[in-house]
Amino acid sequence: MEGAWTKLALRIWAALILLFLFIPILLIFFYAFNTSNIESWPIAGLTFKWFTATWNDSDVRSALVLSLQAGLAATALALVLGSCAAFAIHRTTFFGRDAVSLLFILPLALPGIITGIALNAFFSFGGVTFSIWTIIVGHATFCIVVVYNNVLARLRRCHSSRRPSWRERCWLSPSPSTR
Amino acid sequence: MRPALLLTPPLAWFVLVYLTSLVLLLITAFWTIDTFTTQIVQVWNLDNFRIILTEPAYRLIIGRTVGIAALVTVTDAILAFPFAYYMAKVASRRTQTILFAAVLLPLWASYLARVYAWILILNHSGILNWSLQSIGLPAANIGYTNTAMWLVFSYIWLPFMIIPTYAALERVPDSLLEAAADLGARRWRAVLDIVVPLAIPGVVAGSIFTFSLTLGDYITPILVYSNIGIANNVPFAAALAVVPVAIMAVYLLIAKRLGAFEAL
Repeated sequence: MEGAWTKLALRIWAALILLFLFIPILLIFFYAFNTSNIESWPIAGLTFKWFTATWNDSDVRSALVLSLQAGLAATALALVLGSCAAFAIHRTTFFGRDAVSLLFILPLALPGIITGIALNAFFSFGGVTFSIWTIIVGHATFCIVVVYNNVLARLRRCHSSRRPSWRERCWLSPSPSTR
Repeated sequence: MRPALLLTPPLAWFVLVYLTSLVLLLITAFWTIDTFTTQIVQVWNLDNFRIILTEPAYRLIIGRTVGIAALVTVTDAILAFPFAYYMAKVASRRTQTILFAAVLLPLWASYLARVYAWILILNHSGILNWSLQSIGLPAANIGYTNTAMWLVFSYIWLPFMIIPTYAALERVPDSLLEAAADLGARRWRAVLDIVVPLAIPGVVAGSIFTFSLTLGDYITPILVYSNIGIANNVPFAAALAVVPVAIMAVYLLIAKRLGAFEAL
């Protein structure tokens, strides 16, 4: 095992990383209660007025509703399609499997703006007017990748697990005709 | 269910929507725009690419973008590795779960909110300068500089590096380390010779995200602002968008060689 000093150093490192990750987020919470709208530290005082202002802003509300709708629809689509893809890729080997798995991670590997601009070209070429549906299609494309990756990672762990019962279950799962 | 049946719907979606879009983007890049009517002219030419390659401004921006993306990737790898190692090999099962959740949690906060938090920290009367001055140090005005870009990008994409690195480290069996110890290897030697090589695919998988995401974000302003927002020059923007695609293609080829795809 690690020596005591190495352990201590690793623990300190982990603590520093956590501070790095969370200080900016905690700061945002503080600024939400700031009485002044000048961005300086320390904050001038504490107030709840921004919360009522946000709540009463109709633009914010409609944006929130749209986000929820698009989020739910994209998630539903992505869960189904992403899981399908992960199970299919995990269970089979076929010609072009590598190319297909590359295609499925491409939206993550390419900058998001590229996906956006490409879809923009796609919709305007096809004469599709922008609406909540184009938002859903765009997000779903990206979310499929996220679901695919996570499901595939879980399936792989199922294989590499050291517990025999799991391993057996994986190996005994209905084997496709292609294997 | 048969795998072919499972694969068809997602594959159809990707080919129809995503691949078609990318191909269209590539084709558009070879078209041009009528400067008077701002209508797209469907005449094949290489003008867009010639401008990108010869105009010093674009070369400078692309070079700087790749440089910052590489720097962010290296920084995140250095920050993430000891953390992921602590998670996978030292922390208790319970701590592991807590740390895993803690790393993912910031991703739930909006990207914009996290960037804004850094503006609040780094600006002239922000918390950084306040802290420095309260311990008697001179103010550091790094807001809106390349240093700030590097720092904030490293912050934002750090979880994307930690998770695959942790996953790769977790898969390294402890028995290998025990065997190394039995054969007389010191702990450091074992980590350097066994753990690090086995964790490389995970680090490279993480680097795909950090590199690509920084590349994309940094190039966004010239892409959208100057060529779709202002001049509405979609073909030129498409040609500019091909640049990161080409860079990522090379990057992905190298990553695949290093086994990163199995570690994603």
